[in-house]
Amino acid sequence: MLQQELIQPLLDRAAATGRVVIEIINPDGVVIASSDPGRVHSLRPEVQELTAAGLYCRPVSSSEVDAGATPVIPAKDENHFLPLTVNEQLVAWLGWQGSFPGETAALLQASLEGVLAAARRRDEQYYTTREEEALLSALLGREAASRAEELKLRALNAGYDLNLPRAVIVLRLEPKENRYFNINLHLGYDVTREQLKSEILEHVKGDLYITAQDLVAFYSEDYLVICKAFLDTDNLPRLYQAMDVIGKHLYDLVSGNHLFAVQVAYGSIVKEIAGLRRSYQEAVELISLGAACGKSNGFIDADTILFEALACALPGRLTSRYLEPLLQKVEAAGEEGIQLLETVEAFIDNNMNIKQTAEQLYLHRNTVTNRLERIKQLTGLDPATGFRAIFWLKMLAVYRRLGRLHQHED
Amino acid sequence: MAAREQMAGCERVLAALRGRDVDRLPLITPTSVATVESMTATGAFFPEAHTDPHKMAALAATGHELLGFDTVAPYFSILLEAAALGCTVDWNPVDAMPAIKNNPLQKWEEWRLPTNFLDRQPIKALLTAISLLKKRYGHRVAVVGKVIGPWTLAYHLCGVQNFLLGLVLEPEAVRDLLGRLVAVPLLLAAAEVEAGADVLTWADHATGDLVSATAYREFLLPLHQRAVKELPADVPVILHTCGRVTDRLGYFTQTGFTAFHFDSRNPPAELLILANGRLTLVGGINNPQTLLNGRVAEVKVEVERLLKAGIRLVAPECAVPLRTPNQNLKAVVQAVRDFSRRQR
Repeated sequence: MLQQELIQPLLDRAAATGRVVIEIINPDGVVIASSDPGRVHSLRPEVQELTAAGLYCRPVSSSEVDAGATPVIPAKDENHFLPLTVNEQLVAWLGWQGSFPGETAALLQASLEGVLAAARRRDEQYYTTREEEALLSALLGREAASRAEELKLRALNAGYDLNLPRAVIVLRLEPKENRYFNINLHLGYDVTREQLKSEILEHVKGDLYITAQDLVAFYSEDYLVICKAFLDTDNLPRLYQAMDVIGKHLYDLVSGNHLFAVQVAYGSIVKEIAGLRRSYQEAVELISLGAACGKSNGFIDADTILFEALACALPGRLTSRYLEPLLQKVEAAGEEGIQLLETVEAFIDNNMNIKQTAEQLYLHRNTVTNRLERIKQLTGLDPATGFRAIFWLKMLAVYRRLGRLHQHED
Repeated sequence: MAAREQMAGCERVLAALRGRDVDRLPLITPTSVATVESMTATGAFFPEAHTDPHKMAALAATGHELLGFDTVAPYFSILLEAAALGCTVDWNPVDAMPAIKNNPLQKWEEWRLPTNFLDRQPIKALLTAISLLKKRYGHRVAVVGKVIGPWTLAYHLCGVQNFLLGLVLEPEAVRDLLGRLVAVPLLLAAAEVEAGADVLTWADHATGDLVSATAYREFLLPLHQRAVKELPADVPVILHTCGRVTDRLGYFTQTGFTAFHFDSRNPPAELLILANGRLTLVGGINNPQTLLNGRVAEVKVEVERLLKAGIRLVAPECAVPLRTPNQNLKAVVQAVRDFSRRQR
């Protein structure tokens, strides 16, 4: 609370002007700052009495203040005290012994209160941010479901109603700074990064689409998380439409910075605290998938990576039973196998139209037909026979691509 | 006490709202102070008192007669316009405020102000009640009229969530709708003043929990500024918005409204700095904890705290809960009077 580096020069200068020792004493009577450093930590019992007597109501008459006649409370032996208050609360006493001009005392009192109020505001902002981070961390933790009631109460105290349905939006901020020799040379990026993160946090909190019910905080180093609140889930399609707009908007809002690559995604709208972790994980998975598909910047719309998401969501019994053996056959055929798979995927993506596929791949249509025949022989799957074969061939192409990207990541 | 008072209640209220000197601090109620206890005392009960002009006036009069405020406020809910515009309203029993049962507006672009709006029953009842109160009190008491702003009207007509999603998905349609809805409070405000209202409350719930300050600036601030220019110039208008608003109070000061009726969740010291003398601040007493569940001594402490913080027009933060004990409302009156006396 006490800003020693700001307060001490004020005390020293005022003491030199008035040729008195000036002190700041806490409400318990302990000297916490003084123009005579030797007096710090000494006890002033008379201040305890003043505090106990409640003699710290501020003057209400503006004329008194204008005239510089701030009431000074004299105690014993020429000791004088003025209350220092912030938001109507007594935080300390300003004290001196002997003669000291009333106007200077009033000015010093006002200056000290200004410093103390600014310090309190900064502390409150700091603690609010830390509390929001702690709350978010608890909500996204594994234990959230078992602590639902406790978390609801904690959130309510912080102004958040956790009975509202929410979706988790994740903004991944990936630092794009120069690193040399794979070691941190302390080139000044750390400070800039933290500063920029704070600015982004405030920017997002003040955004058009973010309300006081939306919990916004950093979760781990790189993830800025928003638990976006809604009033009801009567019209889910409209809510998700809005989430798309908000996601794109948040990307546009944050992407202008020069330090971070930004990926934005959101998870499902959930009604229970336990669902928030799942919603968060869905968003993070989308971001990872987006990155795996080469989308390392931007809003990751679930629809644009639908097949990748589907391939990842296939249970092990299906991937092991079908996709792995098919992939082995394709890879065993070497370059030709890969070429065949790319051709059949293009054929599927072009709505099974041989002419369009040939044009896209710069091939003769007979070459396309031949390759489709070859893939049928290789995998036993004929895209002309129906959706099941088409599905597995598409999944195979996506599965192989994702696997290759993961290998590159490793 | 009364002998020392030099101003009539209405004069005092108007002067204080405009930041002028007063003989004592006024006791003002921008929103309802109707309670079950007052209903029992007068025989004017909810739900009839919402739409029967005589019961409405009788219940409103209790604000002055039983409780001692310098104002009477006959519009108890926020749904009279909505009811007149076709929303189905559940008027609820004696101890509950009415609620909207359906939101009729499907095609926003088709909404038009009905030509007979002022003649529709709930509106007509309100205007008659205002006339009755004005006739009864003259300048002794200020009659507080109330209108519902376009933002809150849109909540009623479109559904809250649906309207708020419109901000994201169809911002131009929202802007267009609000631009047309503002005609409702403007028309009603003029009619209330004509009927005898001395002060108007403009309720628009662009609260922090539902919309951002930026959304207020983008969508509503220009309409509020326009409205202030078109409202009767000689009547002070109090903007009422529930909830936390410190992030948008700076914008409220740009509207031209005379005063702002604030919720206890906003620190008064911070509000005073933000208002910077451009808005008179009214309100601040916590309804659920202090007025409904608190004791008289606690009410007095809270009133004293607000007055010491520099709030001159201390009042309940919003329409008081209907089961609020009258003694707690009387304690507000007493605490303000005591403080005023000490000041003199």
